[in-house]
Amino acid sequence: MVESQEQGPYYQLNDTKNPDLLRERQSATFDVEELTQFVFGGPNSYFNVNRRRQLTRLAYAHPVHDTHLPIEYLDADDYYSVLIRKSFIAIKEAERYGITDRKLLGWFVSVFTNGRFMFGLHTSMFLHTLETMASDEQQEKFLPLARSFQIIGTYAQTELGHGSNLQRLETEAVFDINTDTFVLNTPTITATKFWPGALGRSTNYVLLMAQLFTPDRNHPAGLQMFFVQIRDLNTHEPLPGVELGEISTRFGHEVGDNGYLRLHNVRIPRNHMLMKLAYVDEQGTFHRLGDPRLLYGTMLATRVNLCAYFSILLARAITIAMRYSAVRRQGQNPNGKETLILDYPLQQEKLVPCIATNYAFFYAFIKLENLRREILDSDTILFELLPELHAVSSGLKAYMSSIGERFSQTCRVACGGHGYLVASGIKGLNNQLDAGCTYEGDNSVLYQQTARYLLKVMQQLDEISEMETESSIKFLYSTTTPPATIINLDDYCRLFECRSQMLLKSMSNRLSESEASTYNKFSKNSIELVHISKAFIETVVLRAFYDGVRKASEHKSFGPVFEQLFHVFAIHTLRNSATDFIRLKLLTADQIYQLETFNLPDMYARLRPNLISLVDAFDFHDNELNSCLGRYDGQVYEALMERARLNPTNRHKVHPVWKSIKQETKSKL
Amino acid sequence: MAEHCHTKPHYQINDTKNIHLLTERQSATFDVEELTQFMFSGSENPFDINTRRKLIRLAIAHPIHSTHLPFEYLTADEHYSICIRKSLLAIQEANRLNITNQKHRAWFFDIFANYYFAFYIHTSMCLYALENIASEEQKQKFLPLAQSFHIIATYAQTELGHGTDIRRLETEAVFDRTTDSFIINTPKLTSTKFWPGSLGRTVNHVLLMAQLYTPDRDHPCGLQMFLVQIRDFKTHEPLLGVEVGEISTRFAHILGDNGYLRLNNVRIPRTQMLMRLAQVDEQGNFHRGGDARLLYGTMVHERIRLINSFLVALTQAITIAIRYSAIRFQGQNPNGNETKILDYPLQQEKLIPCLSTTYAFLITFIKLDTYFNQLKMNEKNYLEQLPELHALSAGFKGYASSVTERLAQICRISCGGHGFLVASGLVGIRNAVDGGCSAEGDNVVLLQQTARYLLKVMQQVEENKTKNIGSSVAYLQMPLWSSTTCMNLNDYCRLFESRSQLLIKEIYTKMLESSSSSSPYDIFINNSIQLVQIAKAHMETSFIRAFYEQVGKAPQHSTIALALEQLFYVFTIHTLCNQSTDFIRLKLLSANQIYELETHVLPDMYARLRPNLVALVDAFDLHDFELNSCLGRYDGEVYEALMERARLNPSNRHRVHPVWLSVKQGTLSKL
Repeated sequence: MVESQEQGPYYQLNDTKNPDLLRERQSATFDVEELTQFVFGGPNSYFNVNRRRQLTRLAYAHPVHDTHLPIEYLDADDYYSVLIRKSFIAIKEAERYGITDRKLLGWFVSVFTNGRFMFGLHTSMFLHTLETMASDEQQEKFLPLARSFQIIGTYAQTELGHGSNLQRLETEAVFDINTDTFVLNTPTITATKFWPGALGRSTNYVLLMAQLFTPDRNHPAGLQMFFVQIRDLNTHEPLPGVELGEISTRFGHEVGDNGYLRLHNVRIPRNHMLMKLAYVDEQGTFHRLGDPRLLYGTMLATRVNLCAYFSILLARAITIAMRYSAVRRQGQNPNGKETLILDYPLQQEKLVPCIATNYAFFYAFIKLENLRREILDSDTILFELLPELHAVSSGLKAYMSSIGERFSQTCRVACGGHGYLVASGIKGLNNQLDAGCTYEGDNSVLYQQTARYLLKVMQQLDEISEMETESSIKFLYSTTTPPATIINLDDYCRLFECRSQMLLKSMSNRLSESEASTYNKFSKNSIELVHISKAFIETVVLRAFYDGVRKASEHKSFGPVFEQLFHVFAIHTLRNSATDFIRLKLLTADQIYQLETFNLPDMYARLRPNLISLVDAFDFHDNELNSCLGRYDGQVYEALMERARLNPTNRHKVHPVWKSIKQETKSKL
Repeated sequence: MAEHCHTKPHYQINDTKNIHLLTERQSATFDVEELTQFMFSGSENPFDINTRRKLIRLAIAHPIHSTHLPFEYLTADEHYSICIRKSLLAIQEANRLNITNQKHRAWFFDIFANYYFAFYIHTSMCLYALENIASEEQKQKFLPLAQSFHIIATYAQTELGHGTDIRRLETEAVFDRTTDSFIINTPKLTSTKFWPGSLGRTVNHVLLMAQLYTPDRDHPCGLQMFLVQIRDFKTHEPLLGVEVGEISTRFAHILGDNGYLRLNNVRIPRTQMLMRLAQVDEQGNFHRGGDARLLYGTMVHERIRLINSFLVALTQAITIAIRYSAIRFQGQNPNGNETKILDYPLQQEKLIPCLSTTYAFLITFIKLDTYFNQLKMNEKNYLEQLPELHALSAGFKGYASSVTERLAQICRISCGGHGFLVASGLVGIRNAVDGGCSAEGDNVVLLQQTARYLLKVMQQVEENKTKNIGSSVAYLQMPLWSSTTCMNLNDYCRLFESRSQLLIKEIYTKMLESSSSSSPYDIFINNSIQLVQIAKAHMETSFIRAFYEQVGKAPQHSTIALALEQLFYVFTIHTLCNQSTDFIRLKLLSANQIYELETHVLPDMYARLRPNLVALVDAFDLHDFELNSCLGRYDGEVYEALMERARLNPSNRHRVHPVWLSVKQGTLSKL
């Protein structure tokens, strides 16, 4: 059924209705579909665009999508109901179509629910954690129930008072030898589980992170994960001792059903602690088993996926902003004609670095994903490479979310007032990227982890002789000579690598000369450590993009376009850290001025005819964008007006509050 | 009545309940109230803190405030209703309390209606426009009705297809001699008035910007302003030929009742074109009269109001973020204790530049506003100085709104996940200032206007015609700063002024050189990216100069002067580091000097400011009611407030959400 669906692009040139947008599309120097296939095509590609198109078509074909108003017009309760309903239908439909592959299933349910699948944490983290951390016996018992959605769970870790620093979590599980159970409590107000998605009204189980005390209260045994029922499977009512609900409103409707949970002497059987890596026996004795590094696996896989997710969010924002800029006119040139805003250098200065960065992101992600596959998908996890994956994925997650947040905001501003409507789609994307700066590790914290790894590498430089050619830290092992002039693309990579290496060396020396304690050294230098991490991540992104450009060079039509994008990304990134390059004598201030004021605008001009095609190549379905400004056909004003008229408040000719005010005035008279 | 209220600070140190916050407050090296008075007191000060305190006390005492849930829990319709109710009540109360001063009334309305006063465009822009652009006769007729809120109006300019470039507006008013009226139409889809605040469901009149055609359709006379009734006074129903409604949802409920308006052959009497600056007589002849520069005055006035609102938002954001950082703990030091997040250098690096920028903007704003009000006393002077005021206010708005948006976002991130809750207050603040980047002129458009002015001044300097050069650009004719190190505060001012001067001169020369080969339009467009840069560089000189003057006004060697001086350094160095290439390329500083400033001087200033951080935000003296933030409340009871707010969520009134009842009954698929 899936296979029989059409695999071609969603839109053809002649679906374009706005003549300006049509002209843009006709001016492209390459075939859009060819580029789409080059970047996102192929069954082994993470993005597997043809299969994704089939799933998307199936998902949008369902009649449920026509049964409700645009979601910004629903009140909180209706909105939640629609999401629950769609999430269940999505699961059923996926079953009916025989979509079983986990990634494809994830796509399908996400597209089906407009990116707001309510059981996302269940199907990803909850199931995955059971599979990796539950004992075989536990898996046999719990997994079938969880896979059939009788048990729906979430991951309850963050507390009101503690987020990033897990050791400080306060929720506790005390073993009771008499009843062979754990007694669970959130003893203080700050111990309240706060924020877990789907917790408020949706799930009936949680995987609870709690401090284990065994054989009794006086013996802390560290954090463990517990499988805890919180709602009745038949009535969905909270169980005794469980207080839970939705937390207060988050920004927009974007985040699903985040909840709070307080537990008061809730008892669970001893075998509801996940026991693959540690277990408690009947006497309450605590044993460790297995390699705790297995735990990293889930976290790392999540982080890698986030990098794809952030790249896609940004790609949506730039698609909307670019297309709108090719429809919107403003100002007047001397011929008395209005100017397309995409023709203004100041608009290009906003949007072209963004599209260039977005392509760089995709290549950085692809490289990261390859590393992940190599390490985690092999028969035995390659533990020796885990630290690199950890460092690169942490740094990239931080880099992509913070840069993406800023760029999506630039896209919002680039769309002027209309960008501020929920119906533009952009504010929502900015919002999601903003949240991404915080969840799964605060960005500043993650950058410091990357820095820690890099400094360790610096100390072991002499010890390692042989290096994987693909490794992101390879350049640290050789003496890179700075290029005298920037002529070809590789010169940029070397320039960034020199900078990163020099920054790391001087920091490494400074730290080893200092007498202070490790903690103090790190804390005192933390601002620079974050800076150094960013500099390193920039080399990773630039190198990955460089590899992409080299591959693209075989394609005559878009090879040069990729080179132009590379130049833009490299120069734009470079100028933002200009002081580094000047101080380290890698470039002079005049050179940077030259790059910024001549080369960059020159690249904007060269890229100009292809700007729309470069976003068209991301091939988003209009329903995915859900944007009046970014729709493929360019009928922007019609869409805005239609959406305004749909506003339910306009069903009143006179708003009820005015009716009663006018009544009151009358009665007073 | 207002006189009876006392003018003491809203809170005393012993209102603090959180012990860590108390420690912070006790560590301050100066008296908070002294700083508050130094910065914000006086009737000519735009913040006039003592009067404001009285008004706040009066406004929040009203029982209506305890009759509704927090706004994030109301539906759109409920939220609108409560705003209208509160807004009408605010007017009644202001009258009852005999609050007559315009500014005081505006504050009172704002606070009373939780910053959602539904008629704020009416009371600010529309009344102002009627006073300045209507003829005497028109004023007599319409002003009393508007002042008594019988007429409630908004300003309808922006259209679906056109915003910043108002010459292109499409709404038209064609004179019809036979009936002595104008026929008004929005002829195309893109001519639909779109976005005006309060237009959707609230106002009964609009001040409509439209293209005038007179004596007939073949004679375009440019844009004019018309007073057009759109709803019936008694029934509030839209009049014939009027299609009006709310546009689609904006982010959160922040902007009030933005609407769309389509007009189909709506007729208004000839006398409802505002006629102080242009007139149409009975024959349909068009005359210009009066000084059109007055129109700029309205714009400058509105821009200053807007800048004021960003700055209030920024003081709120930084207050919330710094207080929360003083009670939140995270991570573990080697002693096994948790660390207060405000002690982390990375948190300081986020928040202290933000705090120093807040002070820089506030100080500059107070200076600008005071200057503007003084000028208004003397119309001749005022009109002469308008170009400078226009350039300054446009540049300030363009610069400050983008920076404020970014800083508000940094405050959000520095509060972690809880900052993402609407109840943190930060979300609404950031949204509001983001909207400000596009409202009243896109920022890059405004900065280009400032640049245009700077180029003109540079031309005067080059041609030695600098008799009446404005004080904000006086540095353009001074010798360059020639020192090699920054020793004192004035060195930093001169450093920034020299940079700005060099940049302006550089681009001026470059544009002059290309003037033989390209058109002025092309030259301007081709250099627009750099022109925005010089406008920003110029604005930075204004901020730094104003900050410098303010430090000088503080009692010498006082602890307040010290703290302000430290903030000055942070603002200046932080700003400098963001633009380091300029300073290096222009050979004003070396890369090593900048590195030194960034890695040594800046962290050193952070350390010195550390004991005063909470006191420096306390000095803004924001009432909890204004902050409306679980994270930023004065007493520091953050977690209790978060939990209480969560429990209030109306979705928690169901033990089982209704949709789950149908799931459990198996009726879901039938829904």
